[in-house]
Amino acid sequence: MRLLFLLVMVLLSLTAAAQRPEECYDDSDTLLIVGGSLINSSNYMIDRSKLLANDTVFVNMPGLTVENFTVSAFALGQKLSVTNAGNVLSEDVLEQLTNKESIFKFFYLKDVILRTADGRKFAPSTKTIKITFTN
Amino acid sequence: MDGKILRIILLAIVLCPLFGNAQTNDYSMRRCWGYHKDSCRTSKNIYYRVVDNSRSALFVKGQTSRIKIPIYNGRDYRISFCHDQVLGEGIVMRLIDAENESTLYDNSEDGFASEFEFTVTQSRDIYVEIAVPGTSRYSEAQDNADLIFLRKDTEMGCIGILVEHMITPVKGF
Repeated sequence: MRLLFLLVMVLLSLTAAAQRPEECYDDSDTLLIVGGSLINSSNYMIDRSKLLANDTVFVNMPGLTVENFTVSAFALGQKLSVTNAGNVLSEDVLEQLTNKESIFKFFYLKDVILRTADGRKFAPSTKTIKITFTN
Repeated sequence: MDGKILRIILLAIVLCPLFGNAQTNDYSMRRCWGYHKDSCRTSKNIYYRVVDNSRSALFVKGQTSRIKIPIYNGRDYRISFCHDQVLGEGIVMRLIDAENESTLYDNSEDGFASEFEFTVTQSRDIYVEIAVPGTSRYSEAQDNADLIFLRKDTEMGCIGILVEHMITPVKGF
């Protein structure tokens, strides 16, 4: 009976090992370039004018690309939640965050969906980066 | 004899600070007084100034309470809260329009964030409402007769609400 239990446990652990990806993805590999600078912090403060159209979310791991990510912002009585295709901020979102009348003081970059080189979906990054505007 | 008196005085000097520390757990002595000043982190943005409407209070698990604050057009606000660990996680902060009771912000939709920054485009009064999850004898009691005692160590703790503001900066040129 004991032998059977051990056998089942060994089989279970082998199955789990087979399902695990070869390389474990670490959320600290999700990075962001804002205003030409690499952001490696979950809470970052910048001047609004420094947010640019070519700012990028990327992963520091060969073979993985960002398929899309979500921008989520809150203001008094307003909420913005947009999924950006690709790894750059869409023009519409950028305009809403940086125009002179913008009332959003901060936004989150989250739900980063990743894809492997051969087109398979990879485990999503659970990292959330908060960008707070100083102006 | 003089030596004995001296020893008693020295002993009193050594023990006085210890008794002083012991008093910090005494809720009858307004333990939460100034909690927001001592425990809540202010913004890293140097232009923010703490508003006098900031408050601290003693909360019991399951309790909901609100304060009214005026907010003014042309200012940015940062409202944050901090709390004793005994109250647990998942504390809800809502900003409610005092005129029509509509919810302007609910941190449960924002991952139970403990801070919220916003720009004001219209002066108004808002309520900052804090709701502590869980239950206690206080929240379950029908009237005062049902409430015999509350456990200080597991059912109640301090919450501080820190309100900061600054003039809304000009964006762009």
